[in-house]
Amino acid sequence: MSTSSSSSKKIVLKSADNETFEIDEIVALESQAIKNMIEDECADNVIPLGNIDSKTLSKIIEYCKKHAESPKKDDNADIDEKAVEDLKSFDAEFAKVDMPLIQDILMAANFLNIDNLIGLMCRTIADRIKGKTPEEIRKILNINKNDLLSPEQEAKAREENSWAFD
Amino acid sequence: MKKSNQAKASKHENGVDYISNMPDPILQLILQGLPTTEEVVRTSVLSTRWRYLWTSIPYFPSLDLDCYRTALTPSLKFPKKKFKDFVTWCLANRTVDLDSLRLCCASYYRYSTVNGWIKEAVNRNAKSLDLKFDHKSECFSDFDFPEWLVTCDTLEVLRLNLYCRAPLNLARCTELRFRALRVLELNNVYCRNINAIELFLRMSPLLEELTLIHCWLRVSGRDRILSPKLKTLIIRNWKKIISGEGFWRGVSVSCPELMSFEFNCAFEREVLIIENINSLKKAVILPNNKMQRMISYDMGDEICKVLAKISHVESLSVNLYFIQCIDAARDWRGYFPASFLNLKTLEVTTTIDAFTMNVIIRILRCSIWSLSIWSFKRNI
Repeated sequence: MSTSSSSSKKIVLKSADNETFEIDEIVALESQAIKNMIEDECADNVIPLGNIDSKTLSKIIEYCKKHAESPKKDDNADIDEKAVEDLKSFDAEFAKVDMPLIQDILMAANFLNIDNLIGLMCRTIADRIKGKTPEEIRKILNINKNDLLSPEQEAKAREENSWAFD
Repeated sequence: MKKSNQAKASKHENGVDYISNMPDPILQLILQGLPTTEEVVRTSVLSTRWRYLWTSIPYFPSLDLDCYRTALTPSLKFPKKKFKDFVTWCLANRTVDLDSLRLCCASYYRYSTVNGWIKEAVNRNAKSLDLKFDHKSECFSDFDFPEWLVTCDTLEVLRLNLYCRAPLNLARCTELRFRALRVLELNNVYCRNINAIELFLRMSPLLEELTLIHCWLRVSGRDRILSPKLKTLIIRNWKKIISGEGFWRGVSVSCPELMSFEFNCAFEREVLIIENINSLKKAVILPNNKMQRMISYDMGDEICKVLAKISHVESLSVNLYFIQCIDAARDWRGYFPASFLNLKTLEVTTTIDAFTMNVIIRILRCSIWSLSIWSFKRNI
């Protein structure tokens, strides 16, 4: 699975399951981490991403491509409102995936340091847990059962801010 | 999809709780995305990882605190002290700007306390304030509208619900101007000043949206809604106070940029005079008259007069009383519009029967577009 368009500089990313993705450098630069690597000239031809599987990586590339193509806010010129709307609806569509994938994308975005994508995933998670009871949230986020508060601790936590609990 | 879910689930069960392994700043970002502040606080019981996480949020970009939401069962005593400490903690000692504050604290606190909170929000350059509190004054004095609220450079949206207790007095502020206010909503506000709407509009030259709900207004002669920028005007259920200084008449509206107008109030002669609303697209005119005794030729003519001024709208909502009046109108002066040039939607908040139909047909005859007509019973 490779993508190539113009003759611009290419970067190759390699996922944990050894799939390679050839992308334009401009797309890769959406990731602050990769940008730093390139600037420090410590990026070889292939950048191995040992903790990101190909499914997650292809989603992330999809995101970076779209955002790399869109005009940036700091271009100072009048930003086309349609482009902003377009990007918004892209983001909304992009976030319509199941929770495990959201978490994988979030972890990878954090590793690759892609601010916008981190923000989008966090907002998406917040949207899914809003208005839910603690029990429901634990389930949605798959919170580790060994990490739960003891009944006494939970009672104390509720008591501390009793106004916030029904 | 299902399969991958299961696969992930087992991966989760065997191994790690992905979210909780994220660094704090990420989890804080998630917390900041929750709509209400108490939801943020409630995450303290999720697990040991989350126990104190919310207390480390660098700041709440917006605060939404509502004691009604958190004290749903009246039998439970509202933890006044804790709520107060929390609000104070959230607002105080932060150098970062606050985006919005929504605070409903009913009559639990003295005004001096609430006042301190609002001031703190203003000091943090709040853009939006939505405040619902009972001005429990120790000596039943007026609630003086604070000058520093008007002179706040950043305030764009102000919503006030004062439970109609202490009269709101603008006396100290009439010469001041809001610098950024675009949206003003007064709910259950008892206005001390005569022609308060006019005063508010003069104080807010940039206002685009004005909503008055259940407000007690003192009007002498006519309160003029005169604004060059206003785009939305909503007046619902005003209560009038007839003061010794003149007779209550009503309002006159002159807003060339107005796009949407809702008038849902007791109706009588000359209560609503429309001067200039040439840009209007949407009108909701739901006059009411509790006694139902005022269906007369006069009232009919009065309604036709209003209708003539809004005949250029694209969408019109009316109620049974409106239709009854038109039906009763004699309209010798011919106020009933000859045509509705732009009307595309007609909404009737009553069921259509033979009687209602008469008037609708009259409107249909005058309109050139094929109308979509909505009819429903609305409980007001």
